[in-house]
Amino acid sequence: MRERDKKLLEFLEESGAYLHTLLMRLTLPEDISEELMQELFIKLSCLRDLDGITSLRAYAQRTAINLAFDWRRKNRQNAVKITEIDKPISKEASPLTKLIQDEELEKVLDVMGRLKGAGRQVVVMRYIQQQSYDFIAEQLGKTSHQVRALCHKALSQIRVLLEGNHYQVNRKRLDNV
Amino acid sequence: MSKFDEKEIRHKLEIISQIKPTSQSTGRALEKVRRALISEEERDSNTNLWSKFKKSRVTRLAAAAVIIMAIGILIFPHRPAERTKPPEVLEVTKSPADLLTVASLSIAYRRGGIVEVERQCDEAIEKLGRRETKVSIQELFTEFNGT
Repeated sequence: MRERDKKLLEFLEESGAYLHTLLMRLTLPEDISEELMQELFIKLSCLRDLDGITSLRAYAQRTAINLAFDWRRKNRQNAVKITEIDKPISKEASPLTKLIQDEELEKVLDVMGRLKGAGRQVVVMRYIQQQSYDFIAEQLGKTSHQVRALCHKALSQIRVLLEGNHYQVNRKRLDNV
Repeated sequence: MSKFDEKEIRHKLEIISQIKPTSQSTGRALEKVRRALISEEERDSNTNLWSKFKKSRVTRLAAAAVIIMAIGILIFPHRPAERTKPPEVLEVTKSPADLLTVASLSIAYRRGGIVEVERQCDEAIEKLGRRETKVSIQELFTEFNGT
């Protein structure tokens, strides 16, 4: 077995579950996150300079975020609704499932995909992966203060984009009346 | 979303952060990746020899030469043999009388003109041998009639 494949398999054991969780949070359907997970590792195995990457985990996380939002953008038309997530074993939906079945979550994720630059990554790491500002700063090679500023700016952008979406939806409804 | 305040957005993001895949799903995903990595490695090892072959300039040139030779052999399979084969020459020893018949002299003329006719006559004289300058009538009759 090649050295890089060994390295990737070790990395898979170490960070596979974390990356799969991240992909599922960003895409929501389980089968999609499984497919994207495969795509992510194939991308990593095709890297020429795998040894040159200082933090494989940070690199893989960034690639996973990009893959997930790319998928959301491409599949916006045919996006699987959040309600299509695997049903729980019990007949009654759990409180968490009820919360997930909120279309607004999907709207938030779609809007996040429209963020530019490091803002999207920072929001994902801070609010979805619940990582500390210091950790994010270390991963991105920025100061903690810069990360806080990026987070604040990204949240403002999400708010503005959501307001824009809301306005557009209402406008369409009025036009249809 | 009725209110678009950042607190509400943070709340939504917090909900997303609580989503976790089932252990079966994670297991399936990891297994798929393992299989993909292993199958890719196998595919690489199969194509490894070919890729090495392709990368080497010498082997590529050798392959090109072999292909050109094969094409040459296919297109011109017998010509070199034909070219090296010498033309067959039939050497027939003829009698002086045959050499001097009208047909034989005519063929000689067609073959090499008057020079060839003279050569053939000389050849016939050489075979017959020298004769005396004076010949009697009796000898001539004997030669022609055989009696």
